[in-house]
Amino acid sequence: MGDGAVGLTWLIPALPLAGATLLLPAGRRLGVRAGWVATALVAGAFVASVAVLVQLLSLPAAERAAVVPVFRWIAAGRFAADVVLRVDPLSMTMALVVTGVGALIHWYAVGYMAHDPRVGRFFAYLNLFVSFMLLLVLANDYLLLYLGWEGVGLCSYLLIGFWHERPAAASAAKKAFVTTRIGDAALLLGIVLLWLHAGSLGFDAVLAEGAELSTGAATAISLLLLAGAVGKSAQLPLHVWLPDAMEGPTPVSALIHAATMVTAGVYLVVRSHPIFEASGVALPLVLAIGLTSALYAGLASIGQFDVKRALAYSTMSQIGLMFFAAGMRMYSGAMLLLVCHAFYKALLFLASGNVMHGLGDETDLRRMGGLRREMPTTAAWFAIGALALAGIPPLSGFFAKDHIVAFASTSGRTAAWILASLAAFVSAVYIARPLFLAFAGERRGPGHAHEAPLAMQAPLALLAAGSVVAGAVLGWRAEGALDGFLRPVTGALEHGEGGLPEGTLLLVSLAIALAGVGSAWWIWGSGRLDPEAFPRRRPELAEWLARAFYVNDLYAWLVRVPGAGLGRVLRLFDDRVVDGAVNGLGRDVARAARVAPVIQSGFVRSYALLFLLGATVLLLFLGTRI
Amino acid sequence: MPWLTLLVFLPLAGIPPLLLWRRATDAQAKALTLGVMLADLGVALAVLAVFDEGRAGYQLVERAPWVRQIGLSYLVGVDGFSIWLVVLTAFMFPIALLAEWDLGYRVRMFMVLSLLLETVVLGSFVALDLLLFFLFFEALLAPMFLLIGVWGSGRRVYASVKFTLYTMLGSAFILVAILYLWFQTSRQFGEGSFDLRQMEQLSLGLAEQRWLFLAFFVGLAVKVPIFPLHTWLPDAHTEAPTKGSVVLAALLLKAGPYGMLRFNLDLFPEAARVFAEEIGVLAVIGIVYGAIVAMMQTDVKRLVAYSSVSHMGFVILGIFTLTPEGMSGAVMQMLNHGLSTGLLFLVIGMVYARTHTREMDRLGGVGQVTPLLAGAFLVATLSSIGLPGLNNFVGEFLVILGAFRAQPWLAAAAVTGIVLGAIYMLWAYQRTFHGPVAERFRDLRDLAPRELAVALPVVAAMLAIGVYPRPVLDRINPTSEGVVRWVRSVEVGQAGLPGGIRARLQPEYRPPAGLHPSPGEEAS
Repeated sequence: MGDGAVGLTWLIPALPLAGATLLLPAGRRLGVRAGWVATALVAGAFVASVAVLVQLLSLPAAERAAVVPVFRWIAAGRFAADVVLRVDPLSMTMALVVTGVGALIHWYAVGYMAHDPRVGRFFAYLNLFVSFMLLLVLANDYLLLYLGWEGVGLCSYLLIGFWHERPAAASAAKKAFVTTRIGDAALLLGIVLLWLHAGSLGFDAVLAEGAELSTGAATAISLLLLAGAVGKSAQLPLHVWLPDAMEGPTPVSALIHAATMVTAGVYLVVRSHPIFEASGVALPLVLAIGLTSALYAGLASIGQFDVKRALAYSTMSQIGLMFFAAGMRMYSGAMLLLVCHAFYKALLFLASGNVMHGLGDETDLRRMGGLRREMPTTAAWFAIGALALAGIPPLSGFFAKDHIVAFASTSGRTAAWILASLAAFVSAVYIARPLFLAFAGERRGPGHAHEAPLAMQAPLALLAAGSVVAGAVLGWRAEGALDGFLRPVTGALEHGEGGLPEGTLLLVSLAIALAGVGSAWWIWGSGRLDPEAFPRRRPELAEWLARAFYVNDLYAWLVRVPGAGLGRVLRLFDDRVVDGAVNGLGRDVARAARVAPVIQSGFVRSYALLFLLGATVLLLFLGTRI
Repeated sequence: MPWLTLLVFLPLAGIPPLLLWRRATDAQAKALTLGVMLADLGVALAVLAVFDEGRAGYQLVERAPWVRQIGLSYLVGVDGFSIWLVVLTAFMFPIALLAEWDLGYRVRMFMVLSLLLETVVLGSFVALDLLLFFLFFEALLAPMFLLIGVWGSGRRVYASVKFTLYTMLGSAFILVAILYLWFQTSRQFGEGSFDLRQMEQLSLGLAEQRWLFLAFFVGLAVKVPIFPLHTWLPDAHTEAPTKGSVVLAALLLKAGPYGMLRFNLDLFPEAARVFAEEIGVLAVIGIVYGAIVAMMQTDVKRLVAYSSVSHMGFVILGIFTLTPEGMSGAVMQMLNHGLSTGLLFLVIGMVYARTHTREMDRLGGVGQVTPLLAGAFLVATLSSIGLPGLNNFVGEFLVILGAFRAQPWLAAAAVTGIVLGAIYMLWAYQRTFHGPVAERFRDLRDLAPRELAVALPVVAAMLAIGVYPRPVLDRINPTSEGVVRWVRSVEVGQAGLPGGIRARLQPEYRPPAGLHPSPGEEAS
């Protein structure tokens, strides 16, 4: 294979890349037209992906994999890495999400960013973002994946810090890049280790051999890959960048949370699953990290009064559920949730973008309320997204989440099932809360709101349609359409023994979703309670939730106190000890010689001395070998 | 065609007109110098074109006896280690000159020194006679001393004296070692010689090799610089004029690792194996220490200077992994560091020309009024922190790969440099270009066409190498593979076979049968 539409796979990342290259220099002249160019190019990439998908579907399931070589990238010694794209069910699922949801977000941003003076550059970055994400998911080896991975990090830096005149935005951008880079460094080590053990970085060679890696090697490699995934997907303990990333324009948040960036970690784990499975401890760790992150972020989300921060923690929680699914070897379940989440999370962010647009950039839920009257359409979009996420049938989130939670029980993980059900309940609460706080009741803030124009509603309509039907179409059952499509890559689901009967699980799931939304309505929607009643009654608990259990504060302290302390000590060491000796000696010698104006000779002698000291240190160190 | 001689001495041809043409205006003197440098860049590209990428040995060798009594000869040649340094030198000189176009005083002298400097830098990268190398290597100091001392800023005299003394003291070690080798050639071959190819054939005992290795190593370590011999560097870089900083960072720092590749590995292979691991430790100390101290700087130029200590650690680490991947990566890093740090200094020079400060506390928000300038700085920053798709990543990755093969924990420690690099560079970028813009900077103008002509070629080279590094690597690989085989294969007393190592290394390198080594397999 390699001819027909598949031969044109390179167009998928190339189109948005061409957009970025064109708009970076020419964006200023094009103005808002740059947005249309960028949208058209991502839409073109979507069309190309669909064409490739159609050809893929025309083949028997076992033959649905092809590689498209582009050129040799790096070669030295025994190492060689090529730029090769891969077409298979997993890469195409990701490419369709990235280009489809990405194109809609682009479209929306045309209206949202129309009045920004740097709109041209904005769309150049947005196109670049999509392009790197496509390289990441279409790469056929780990090094090219790493290129996309780092490129995504760069674009998130550029876009979170797009309004870089605001110090908070500039700092948030740097924080996102640096925090994820900690994971990236581990990922790079994992890639190197993988090459040393498998002799290749290509997926075909490595993943087929995955089972042949020794357990120790597979564990080391998968833990390093997992560290990378945890950073990019904002899971514990590298999650602290995600809430701050809200400093970027809202379409950027939608892109980061739905189509690009945070889903990369889930993709990496699913793609590398043979290595993870060869280790014995890596998948349980994935499961634990996912579950903990889901619960942690869910609780933190309930404590947020900034609507975008509440949504940010909700993303972390949802990605946690995806990790949880992958940790149970339910890769198709993770991917189903990834696809559905892309629709409803993009919808939620863009709907809150409409709210900000109509309220003069207001993001504080305490000053909203009653917006259903002034912004009925937006309210409907937000409600669809929220109910989909909460798992109300027949919206998409119900299927995606129910399969995962139920699988925990049917695969015999009862404790995990209870915790996952709890996480599902929390997620219904945390997403219904901003819905009721913003749109129900009466306005608590000043000013008049206005509904967003049609151009900013149309893409939302499509996203809402996806949020409604994606789950039922792709995953009516756990072994539904998406599972069947992905099976050549992910393998069949392995149900274990025991667990509750499926009908019971379904009812429990339904009850949990309704209970979550219902209790959120009772607390924040019914008007019985003041939204700030809880923080007033239990301020310390509210503070723990609002500050997400002080993890960020702990990190900040570690950087500020011991971290900066070490830096200061080393800097003083360099100035005063390694170097300072010279200047001190120079002065002393000069004083002793009473030739203060002519200190050069003193300098000479002390430099010589210092050089000898340094050389002696070196020689002593190396001299152990003489 | 004596390509290398033409390459090395063409810049000198510009000096007599500069000295004799007394009525030339400053602009004419600058244009003349630029023309000569561009012509030399053309020669360097011609050298690149005739260079045979598949061969490991020296190419374009020219030899002429000079002082017969002591066996000193004019002997030059290039191989995979030096070819890109030569091209980088010819590339950076005209760019750095263009960056100093506004220079207003002692223009003629500056131009003469620049041309002289280009000749000696090129000379030291192509000399294959050890005494000739030493002469070029020492001759670097005079023009550099004057560049910093006359056109520098702030504590320029202090910085130039410190720089010169450090380097000269280091050179003393090298000179002693060279003389010792000369005596050995005259004892073993009956006739003294400084010819590197002859010295490779000496049989040296292991103890002798170790002492000689250390002498070369310490002398070259000052130039790199390796901790704790690095403290001349922040002062020299910071106080030098932009042209001086660029030449120092992009080119002079490369003389150290280049000398190690050329002399330490070729002449003392067993000693190189013995010391490899300890030197790896020193390199990693440099990576981490340089990064942390860089983080604490408030002067952006000083910060970049310390980042060089960190980056050069990667180069040294790569060389002493004694693996073909690590060594090719190290040679690439020499080229890459020249481009990225070169561009950083160029851009900082442009910032300083506008704001008259390098203190990051006083800058900030400049990016709003000068987006192109900020963009150039950002590209250099991203290259410097090893973003894939830009040049540095390729070399850095290969170095880490080689280091992992040699000693996994060294690779793990070196990777922290990647995280720290992102922190200090992005923080510097934020403090310089982000945030609200101060009232006094509101009217700064963005890049002029001349400044674009300075930045764009470097940016283009970074992108080209990052996306398609094959043309670079293909010319480095045969040499690093040959040298690795040499260093790993030679046993004590085995040296001294006829023809020199280069001849013995000519057969194409083939990877050994067991293609997938386990980590550490070749470390012992």
